[in-house]
Amino acid sequence: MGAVEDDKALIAELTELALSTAAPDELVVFEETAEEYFADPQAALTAAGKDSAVGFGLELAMITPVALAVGSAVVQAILTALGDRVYQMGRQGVGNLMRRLLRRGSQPIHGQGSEISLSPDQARFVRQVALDRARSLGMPEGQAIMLADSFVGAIVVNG
Amino acid sequence: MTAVTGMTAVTSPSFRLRPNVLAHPSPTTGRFLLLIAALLSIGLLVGNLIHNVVLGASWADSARACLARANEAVPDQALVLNRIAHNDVMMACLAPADRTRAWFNIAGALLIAVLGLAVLLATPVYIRRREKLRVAGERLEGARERIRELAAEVGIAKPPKLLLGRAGQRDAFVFGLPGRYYLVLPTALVVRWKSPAYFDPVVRHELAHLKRHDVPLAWLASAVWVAAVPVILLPLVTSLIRWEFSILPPYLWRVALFMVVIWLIRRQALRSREYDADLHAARQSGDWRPLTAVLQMATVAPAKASWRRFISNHPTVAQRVAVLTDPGRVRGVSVVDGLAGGFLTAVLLPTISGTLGILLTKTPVYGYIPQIVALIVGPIAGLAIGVGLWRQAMIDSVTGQRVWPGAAVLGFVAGLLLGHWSKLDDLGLGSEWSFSVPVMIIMGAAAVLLSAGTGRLWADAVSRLPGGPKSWWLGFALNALIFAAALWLLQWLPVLFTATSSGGLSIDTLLIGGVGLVTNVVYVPLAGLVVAASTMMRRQRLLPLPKWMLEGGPMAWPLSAREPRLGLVLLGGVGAGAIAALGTVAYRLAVGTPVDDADRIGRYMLWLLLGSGVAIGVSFVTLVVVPRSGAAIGLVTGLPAAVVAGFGTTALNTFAFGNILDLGFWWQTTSSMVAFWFLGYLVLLPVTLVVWPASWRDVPGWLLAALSVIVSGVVALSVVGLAIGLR
Repeated sequence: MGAVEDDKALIAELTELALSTAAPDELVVFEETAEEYFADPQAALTAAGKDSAVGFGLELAMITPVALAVGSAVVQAILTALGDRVYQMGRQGVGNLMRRLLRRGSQPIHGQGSEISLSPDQARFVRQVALDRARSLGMPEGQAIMLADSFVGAIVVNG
Repeated sequence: MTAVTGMTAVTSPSFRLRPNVLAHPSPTTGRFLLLIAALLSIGLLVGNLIHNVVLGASWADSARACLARANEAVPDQALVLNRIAHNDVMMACLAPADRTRAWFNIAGALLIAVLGLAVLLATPVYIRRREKLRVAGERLEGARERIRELAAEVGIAKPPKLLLGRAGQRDAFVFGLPGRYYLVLPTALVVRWKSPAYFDPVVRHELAHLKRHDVPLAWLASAVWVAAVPVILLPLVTSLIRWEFSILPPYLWRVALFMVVIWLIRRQALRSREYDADLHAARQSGDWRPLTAVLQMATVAPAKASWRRFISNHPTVAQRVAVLTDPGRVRGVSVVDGLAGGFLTAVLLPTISGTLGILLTKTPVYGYIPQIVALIVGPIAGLAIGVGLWRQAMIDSVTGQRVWPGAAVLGFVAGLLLGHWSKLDDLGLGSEWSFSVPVMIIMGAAAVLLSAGTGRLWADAVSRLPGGPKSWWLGFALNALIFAAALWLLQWLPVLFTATSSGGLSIDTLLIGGVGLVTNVVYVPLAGLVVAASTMMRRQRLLPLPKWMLEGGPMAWPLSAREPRLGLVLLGGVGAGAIAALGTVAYRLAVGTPVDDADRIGRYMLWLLLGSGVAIGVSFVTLVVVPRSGAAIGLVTGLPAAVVAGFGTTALNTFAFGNILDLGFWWQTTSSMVAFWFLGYLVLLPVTLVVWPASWRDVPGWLLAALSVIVSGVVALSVVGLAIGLR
């Protein structure tokens, strides 16, 4: 797996975890939506088929594409938060390091024990980045807050 | 509303009944048909222009040769009869060349039809590719099953296939061809199929579009519009080839304007269908509130710019919620609906008439072209306008409203005039002034008002209509007849008036013989009278509103009139006709036997004036005294008055004064009186707009009968007195 593919896989894994709280219904089509998003992020985020003839006039957007875009920003934010440790690990090791940060409920997903975690300050920073990105993509405030919290909830935080 | 419980009078909360506006068909069906027909008629125009470029010189040579032949056959054209003979020779000679021209016209329309069909067939494939639609996977089988269940509830045997769009797909819509429909839902909705509060209302709305046949109508209208564009541009190509551009400026701006108007009309019709789909979905689920909730939570925010709202496919959420909350707000025919119907009708009439005129030259049916065109366009216009007015009347019978038809009249007449002034048929090369404009105003208003009035009377009998909700077919038939008659008169009267004003027809000839040319119309009020009289019989017994006319709610009584009763109305009309007949006897007794032919002609014209004048008088009284349904009841008073006046006068002339018994003459006199009365009645019909908002409903039959007799006496005395005085 190439580095880019690994990054995409990491973003997808993190976003899927966040969505299990924010929009569990959408997980059933997560795989194909993520595939579509990574193929052309802008297209996946742009509204299509508005005001169709003999349509309903709905404006019902999926959360997943926005969540994937937020997930990309969150991964970058975590890397920034971890700082020097990222350089020490090297490209290959970063993925593994990041994966050790992911958790479902109170349990880390990869490996036992949480030898790595974010501090509360780092978690707040990651949450703010997620929130800003969600807002910039036009997500309603309530949904944006829930999504940002879901991302933080998917990361092991110390204390 | 109060009810007594024990010893306490309890006031129940007031509520507004919810009429089932879907009990009658949507007038937008007629508007779509008119729109498609108008687009096809543009093909006739294009075909003609192409003919002029390709075979124009050859046609001109034929015309010159035929003129020479006609001049040779009829050298002296001083007399009118010779001019007619000259014209006959010319037309017979030119008929083959004209037929070729007609086939070019028809080929233009067929080209649009064939291309439109091709576009329609290709549209599903195009939409699937453009929107990158895919079949929903196995994991969404639950959603598919729920759609199957909802489709079965609606009565759709073959449910639409569920397709998903791109991640950005936010709206739901249906497309496809009959038997192979597709339902596209936003993925965000499909994955929530277990939440019926969200999922079901949207799917029900889309299924309602399928059930109400909106998909073929809407997509066919779009397909024909798209197909018309390249055909419209064909004259541009032929002009380039021939390097002859004189016809292009007047042609291009007209067709461009036409296409924009058609596009806006289509959008407007689509918006109307949305209300019906919402109401259909709400009726299916038995509750309108879930759909309202979805509309308020998950629909497009209203566009800020009013022009964006104007071109939108959907009404605003506020408008949709308002109609769902109170279906009585649905308008049968708004001013815009009337405008669209009138415009399309006015475009359609001359283009079809022109093509038939050249196709049928020198054939036995040539003289019937106005009737043929009226019978083609009238039923569609009746469906687009008249059926809407009848629907409005049914709604009003439940809500108690008195929706004024003035907006529909204004819209339809304005539309007719705009269509006429656009001069698409002759590209502005025709004569500037004709009698068409005043006739168009009078006939357009009369058709709408006659339809509105008969609709109101029909709605008075809502509880006892034959066939219940299926009775709308009778309404359609009567409206088709009303609009066909109006459209025929709209074509024919200007010809008669032009012939008279140009000296080709004297006033005497017009009144005595010319009116025979319009006696076809006597059958129209007769049909109206039969429907009106049977409805008056049915409305006499007051019954609760039928369930099919309501969306649930308690038992309720229609807010309809039961008076005047048929017997007294007929008595008033017959009495008035008898007075007119007696008026002619009085005149005869006063002035003695006629002295010469001029005197005889003068007396015959007096008969016609007296008979039709009295009939117009009683119909006028009916219009003034009976609000709303007066336009229909005016037929029941006026027609018997004219018939009794006609047969009474001729019978008295035969049996009292010893003139010969000639039943043909009896019929000619009577039908002439009926024709004059009906034309006069059509002119007077706008009076009903003045009394329409009046609050009273029931008018006693004795009062109407008494007023009819008094007015007929006054008219008879005035006419006879004036005639004696002028001798």
